[in-house]
Order: sequence, then structure tokens, then C-alpha cells
Amino acid sequence: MIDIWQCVPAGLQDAILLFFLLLPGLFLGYWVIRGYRPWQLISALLVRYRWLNLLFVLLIAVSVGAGTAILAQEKALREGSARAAEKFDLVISAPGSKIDMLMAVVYLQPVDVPLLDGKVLKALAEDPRVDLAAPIAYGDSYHGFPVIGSTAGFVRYLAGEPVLGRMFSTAHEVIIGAKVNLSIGDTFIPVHGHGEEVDLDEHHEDSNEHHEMTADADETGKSCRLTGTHHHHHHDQSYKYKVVGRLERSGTPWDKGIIAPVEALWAVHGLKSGHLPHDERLGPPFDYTHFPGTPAIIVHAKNLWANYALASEYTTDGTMAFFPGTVLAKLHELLGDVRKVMSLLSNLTEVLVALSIFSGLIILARLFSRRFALLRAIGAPGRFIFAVMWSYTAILVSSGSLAGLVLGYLGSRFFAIVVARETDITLRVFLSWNEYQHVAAFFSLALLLAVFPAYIAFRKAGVADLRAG
Amino acid sequence: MFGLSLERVSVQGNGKRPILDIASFSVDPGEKIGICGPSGAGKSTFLHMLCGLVVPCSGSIFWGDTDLRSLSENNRDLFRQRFLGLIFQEPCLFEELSALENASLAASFVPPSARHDIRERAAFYLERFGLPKTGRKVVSFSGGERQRVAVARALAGNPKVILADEPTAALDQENRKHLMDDLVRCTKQEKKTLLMVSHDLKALARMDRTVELRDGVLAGGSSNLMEEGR
Repeated sequence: MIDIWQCVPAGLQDAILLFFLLLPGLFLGYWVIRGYRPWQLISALLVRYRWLNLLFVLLIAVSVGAGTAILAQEKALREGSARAAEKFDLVISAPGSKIDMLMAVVYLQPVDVPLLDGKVLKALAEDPRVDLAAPIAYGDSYHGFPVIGSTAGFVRYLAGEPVLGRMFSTAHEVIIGAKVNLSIGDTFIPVHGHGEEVDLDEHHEDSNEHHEMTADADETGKSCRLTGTHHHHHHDQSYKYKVVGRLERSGTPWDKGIIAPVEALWAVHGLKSGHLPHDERLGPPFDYTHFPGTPAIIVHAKNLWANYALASEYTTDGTMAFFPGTVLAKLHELLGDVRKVMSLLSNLTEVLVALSIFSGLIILARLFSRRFALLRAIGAPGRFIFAVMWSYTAILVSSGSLAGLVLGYLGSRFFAIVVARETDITLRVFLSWNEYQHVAAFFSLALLLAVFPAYIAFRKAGVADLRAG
Repeated sequence: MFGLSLERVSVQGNGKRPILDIASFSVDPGEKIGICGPSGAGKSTFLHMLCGLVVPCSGSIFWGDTDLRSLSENNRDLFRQRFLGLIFQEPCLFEELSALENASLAASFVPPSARHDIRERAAFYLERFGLPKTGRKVVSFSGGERQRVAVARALAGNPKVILADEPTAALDQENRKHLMDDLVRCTKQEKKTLLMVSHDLKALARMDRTVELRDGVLAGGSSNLMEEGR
């Protein structure tokens, strides 16, 4: 049986599961309503207590919407963050926090990290298993857009050729991500730091003040930081960049990146050029004796297995190799656990809301009691009263569930906009089988629970209510 | 046509004293009976018992050959649905529905084969009672019009018996007369049995005979009332 189930395509499995989740509610509905036409009476009750009904529907919609939004959002977050990291097969950096490095390299979040020296890059560049080994440098920004230094090869690997303009060809040219508010031909002077951490006094301070990076880099090549605003260093305040190209939109934080030749970032910070003196070339091969250091090297191996071999080889006392995808998977696992807790709370809320609404309906049924008593008096069977009350509840639950789906989707879209604004990660929000199944489960459960107010209404509809009023 | 026969019927209330205690009572098919008596005498309970909404603790109630006491609750519902038409002091209408929808309310729960007939008859009676705009919501109707909708609802199922509980009590003099005209004419023409609780002497005067209930006990016919009404 399990074998047969596993042979069924995933989409069909989801559809079958959805059907079976809806089935109890639908079956109960058929069983309750069969032989009757209660819709006129139900519409009368819906119209008579329209504001109260609207409130019930809204309460259900909000609780179902919250559950739907949690599911949809978590999925979109996973997908969006994974998409941002998918081009980063293997990252090699100095030992430290993998999460910090992941945030720095993939999500362009400013963190202080130690530098790797040129020998590591040289070894990787000469390794026959390696297709691409690109240094990456950052620490500057312009109007909140981070300036990242790397090679043309890495840019092509990451985002392809610019969709507008061309690739940089000198140390004063940059290409920009799709969401950078600059145009081709614009020139600008970068500042040190990023976002709120920008060193606003940069242009006014003593430019001769030396950053510890410079000294440390020269001495050890390991303990330096390219980022970090607490470390003032020589920063060329007159270094101008010219925008020569714009990349296609990728839906990742790199859309807000300004990508310059890595040599330019070194030059801005008064470091060696990575090449022999008077060698004006950009990009690899670098001369490791003149290599000022890089916080990370992005590696793309020719074969998948080579990534694992390289990761193993570069996990040493002096270097750290990691797969961003793996780190992300661990974060997602954590996110998944949080989601489980939130989903549980949300499901609990849904049930509690449903129960409180049903309690409200039991009270409301008292207002219907005279009408129900009249129906009994003119010969309506008890099951008809049950059918009217149950269907009335079912309509509120169905409307609330559907509205909850829409609300959950809109809520997720709104959250995605907020996340995109804060992180530049585009979240693709869509409702999947999972969300539909979640709502279907709630729908069926609520319809089963709706039996109680219906039963109470049916039992109470009696001659005493006929005398009332 | 249905006749009614009651023998030694007793309905117990919450206390020890019975609400109703009727030794014997019968109604011929097509007969029109007025029921009068002071408040709290058990008139409404008497009608509710006759339609199976209140079950006596002893005795027998025969409508034709059917012993109402022996029927299950579901079968009593079915019996009311098929054979009895009820009219109350208050019309008890669904305000959000039209006159026709109210009058054909039973079409919501009767078997599909009977639905069309109910709607046809409801429309027929509404027109006959001077309510041709049957699509109008009853919320805008006057008291007299609403009660006529209630009478049409009672007649729409083509019952053999009409049980009316003070149907004219909430109406003014003119509307009382119109309603009684409609009710008596229809039941007479269609040879339906009518049992009507009322304090209205003029209404009772139009019945074939009137019985009085006092403290749950039937006091027999009252020709005086009929004479007074006339």
C-alpha cells in the first residue's frame, strides 16, 4: 500500500490528501442537508444578523489567515533565502562564524571578519578541480548601497552579463544591481561603512589616520578586517567610480549591490593592488606577494564531488570552508521548528476561535428559537432544524475559511514586501497544497464541531418558544 | 376529511394539578369549533396537544384513524406537515423573506414532489386574500396583511384541519372581519375542519359550535356566546 502511494505523483498525492481532508465536512453536509432546501431560511438568518455574522466571519478569517500566512511565509522565506544562496557553492574564509560569513557574503550584511592571505587564493586558482575562485571584498557603500569588490568572472557567474551597459574594465568602473538608484554614466565617491554604520565624518576626518587593518594586514595578513566602522583607516576620499553597467534583477540582496573590481576596493583603502607594481590588469591571476587579503573566496568547482573534497581540504586551523546551503539548511531547520511552534499556536487559536464562535452561535440560536419552534409547529422535522443551524454555521465557517485564505495570502504578500525592504530578498509568496490542506482540515473540523450548536438548536426548538413574545 | 375524538386525556404541568383534563371530546369532519375560556384555562395547550406538540400523559387522541399518542416524534412532525395547518396569534413570519416565501415555507422541508404544489397553493391564497405582490418582503406589511400571509401559510400545505390560536387578537376591527371572512370561506369551501381559540365573540359566532375551557376542563357547548356574537 505504501509502495503504491509512493508511486503516485506528488501533486496527485496532495490533491488526494486535500480531498480526504474536505471529505468529512462535505459528507456531513450531504448527510445533513439531503432532502431539504434550507437556503431561503439560512439567507434570512444571515441577513437578519448580518453584522454579527460578519464579525464571526472576520474572526474565523483572521485566525485562519494567521495560520495560512505562517505556512506561506515560512515557505517563501526558505525559498527566497535559498535562492539568494544558490550560486554560492562553497565559501572559504578565515575560521570564525559560518553564519556571520553567510550573512556577509550572501546577504551583504556588514560583519567584521578576518582576512585570508593570497596563498589560499593562489592555491585555489591553480587547483584543476576549481572552475572559479573569486575573492570578495566589502566595507564601503554609497547612499546605503554596499560596494562589493570582486572579479568580472564572478559577476558573470553570479548574474551573467549586464543587461544594460557593459562589464567594468578599469578600477574606476562599477556595475550596479537592479535596485540601485544610479544610472549608467553616473559617478560617485563611496564612503566607508554600510547603512546606518556609515562613517559620516569620513570626509572631514584626518585622512592620515591609519586603520589598524593596514598595519595588521601588512604584518600578518590574517587579523585584518575590511568592514567595521570602529576602525578608522586610510580611505581615499577622492576615489570616484563610474557606473558602466546594470545587472538583471535576481531577487537577492545583490540587487542592491554596487560591484566594483576588487582592486578598486583595495586601492580606496590604500592597500596593495593584488598585482605587481605598475600592473594595471584587473582580476586573476593575482600576485600573492602583493595580495592584501580577502574576507572570503567564493569557489565554484567543476564537479559536485570536488566541492566536498575542497571543503574537506580547506577545513584547517587557518581556513574555514563551508557550504552556504548547509548552513542555510540548519537555519531553516531552526526556522522550521519555530514555524512548528507558531503553527501549533495558530491551530490552537483557530480551534479556540471556532469554539468561541460556536458558543456565540448557541447563544444566537436562542434568538432563532421562536422561528425554529414555528418551523416545528408547521411540521418541519427536527433534522430540518438541525440542517438549518448546521448549514448556517457551515456558511460562516466556509466564508471565514475562504476569506482567511485570501487574508493569509495578502498578509504574506505584505510581509514579503517588508522583508524585501529590509533584506532585499524577494519572497515569492504563493499558496501551495499545504495551505489549502491546512484550511481544509480546519474546515472539516469546524463543520464537525458545528454539530453541537445545531444539536442544541434542534433540541431546544419546542412549544415553549412558540408561546414567547 | 378528518374527525377528532378525545377520550380521558390528561396533560400534566410542572405541579401535581393537570393543566388539561378532558373526559371526552369529538369533532366531526368539516366542523368549525370555537374554543373560548379565561386566560390560563389551557386553551393554547389544548391546541398544542391536538397537533402533537404537547403529548398527554394519558388518554387517546384520534384524528381519523390515527392515534396521535402512539406516533413517534418524527411521525408527529410528519402528521402535522401533511394534515394540520396552524395559525398563531402572532403571524411569526420571517421578516427577510417575501410573502410567497413565507407562505410556502413548508416547501423547504417537504419531499420534492410536494414542493411545487405548496408554492402554487401559497400563491393562490395570497392572491385570494388580496396580496398579489407576493415578492414583497413582509417587513413592509401591515398587521392584517401579515396575518393573512400566516393564514395562506397554514392553507398552502392543503391540510385537512386548521388549528388557529387567537388569530384575530392582534388585529383591528376591520382586519378581524376580513381575516375571519377569508378563513371561514376557505375552510367551508374546502370542507376543512377548523378549531379556533378566540375571545372574539363575533369570530366565535361564525363557528358551528363553541366549547369553553375552564381550568383545563371542557365545559361543553355555549350557544349564548354564539347568540351574543350574532
